[in-house]
Amino acid sequence: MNKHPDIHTLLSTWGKRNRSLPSKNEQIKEVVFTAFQSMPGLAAARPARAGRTPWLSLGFAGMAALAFLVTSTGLWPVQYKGTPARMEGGSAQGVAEPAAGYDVPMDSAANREMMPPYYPYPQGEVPATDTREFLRTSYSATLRTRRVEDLTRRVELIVRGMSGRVDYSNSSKEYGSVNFTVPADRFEAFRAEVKSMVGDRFIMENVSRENLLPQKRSIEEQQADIQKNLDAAKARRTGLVATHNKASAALRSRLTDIAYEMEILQSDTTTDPARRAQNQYRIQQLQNEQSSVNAQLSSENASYARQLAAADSEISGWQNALDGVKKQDQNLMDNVATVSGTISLQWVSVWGILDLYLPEQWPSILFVIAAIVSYILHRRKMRAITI
Amino acid sequence: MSPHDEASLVARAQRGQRDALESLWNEFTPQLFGYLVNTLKDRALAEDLLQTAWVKAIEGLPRLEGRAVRIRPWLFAVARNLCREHWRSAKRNVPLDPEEHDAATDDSGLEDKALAEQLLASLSESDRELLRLRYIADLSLADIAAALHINSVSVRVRIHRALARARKIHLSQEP
Repeated sequence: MNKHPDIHTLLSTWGKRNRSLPSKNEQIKEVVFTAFQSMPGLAAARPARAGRTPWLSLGFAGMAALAFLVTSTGLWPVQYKGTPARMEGGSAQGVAEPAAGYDVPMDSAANREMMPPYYPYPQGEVPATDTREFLRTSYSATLRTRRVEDLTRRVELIVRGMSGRVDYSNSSKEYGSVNFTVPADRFEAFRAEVKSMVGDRFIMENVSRENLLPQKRSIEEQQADIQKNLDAAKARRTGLVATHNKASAALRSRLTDIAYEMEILQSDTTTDPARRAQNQYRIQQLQNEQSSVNAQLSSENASYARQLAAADSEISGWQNALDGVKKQDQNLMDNVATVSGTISLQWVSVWGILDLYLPEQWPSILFVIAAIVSYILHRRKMRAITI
Repeated sequence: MSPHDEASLVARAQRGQRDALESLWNEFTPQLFGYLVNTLKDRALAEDLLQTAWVKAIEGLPRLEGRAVRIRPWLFAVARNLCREHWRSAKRNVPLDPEEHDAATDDSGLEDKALAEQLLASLSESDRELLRLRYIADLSLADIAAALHINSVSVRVRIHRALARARKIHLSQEP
């Protein structure tokens, strides 16, 4: 049988037995109570406030508020974060506009760099009933990486792999750039490949889509006008030829008649002097008329040649204009069928990587943390002082 | 003594009422002195430090505000710091004076007391400190936590482990 109590009872008994007053209790008590009574103004004494105010914490809190205000008002040089790393715009009227949610100020250098070139187009009215779309897509992206040259080569390979072409490329240790054109139907695949090369935070994209309907309508209107003028010129030429042929035939017919009559008169062998004189007079008349008709025919032919040349020249001019408009139309359709763009690569430092992951208000957050830590330290210090 | 009574006495002592301080003295001195004697193993030194601790406590009375810092754990924290200071200055030369140490005890239960001392001697200093505060100072877990500047959950776990170790030693010593 266990004759010992359990450990708790044993220690409780032990604890009680250890409690006792000191042998010099009264003497010690007297000393303590004397000290108690000699405490000046104990009744009115309040805790000393000096040194209790956490000035450092308040300072950090103030800095946090200041940093927050500065960053909120845009005075702090907030860097582009890249998340959401995308700017996509487009409108029915053809002017690409940055989408909401883009966190770079519109006048920033980065934004200017990223903005695609906008092309002027005729400002004609486009009827609302015309809902055709001829979308031209422009793409640009900025990749931040520590392997600029390697990624530049990979971008070129991707462009060629998508049946596109590289228009311009350069790379150095810190910067790289590739201008490219890829077929529109392979653009999304191309874009996905580019995005897969770096993390979401390290890419900023800009996709703008512009409807080229105003240009298309302008081309169509020009084409219709030119075709109309061409048809009119051809009709005029046809009329000219017909008129000339008719006039020429009439003159030739008259010459034939004159020649026939002269031949009859010259073959008359009469001995009658009066009749011979009469014949001679008529032949003279016919010769004069023949000369006149021949002159008219020459004049007609010359006039016809001039007018025909002018008509041919006009037709040729309209035909050339028509070919030019058709070429514009083809260019427009090529633009719609392809996507052109630029991919820029920038070397990023380790601090830059860290900065991408830090929230925009990181200075304020740091100051808040500093304020909290300093306050905790202050509390500990005050407590230690109290004890 | 409930925390409310304690706070009331402290408030009265802060107003300079001697009877309030006397009540606090009578309530805490046996435990405080027992703690000091058990820690220092030197009654004379314990008496000196007891006096110093109380004087410091009285000096600190004006700084005690509301219930944020209670005098009971505070007093033991002061005593503990005084012991540390003494050890630092004396390079922890702790002479054991069994005669002085046991002078106040009566003969009854001597066997249990010796057994408890033996058990505690087998434990680490940190375990002994916890058990002193728990069983001699009769502090609650929250008060021990306040005195040691750790959280009460840690105190509960550490006391539980210390008791488990003491129980194990206790059982191993049984015939």
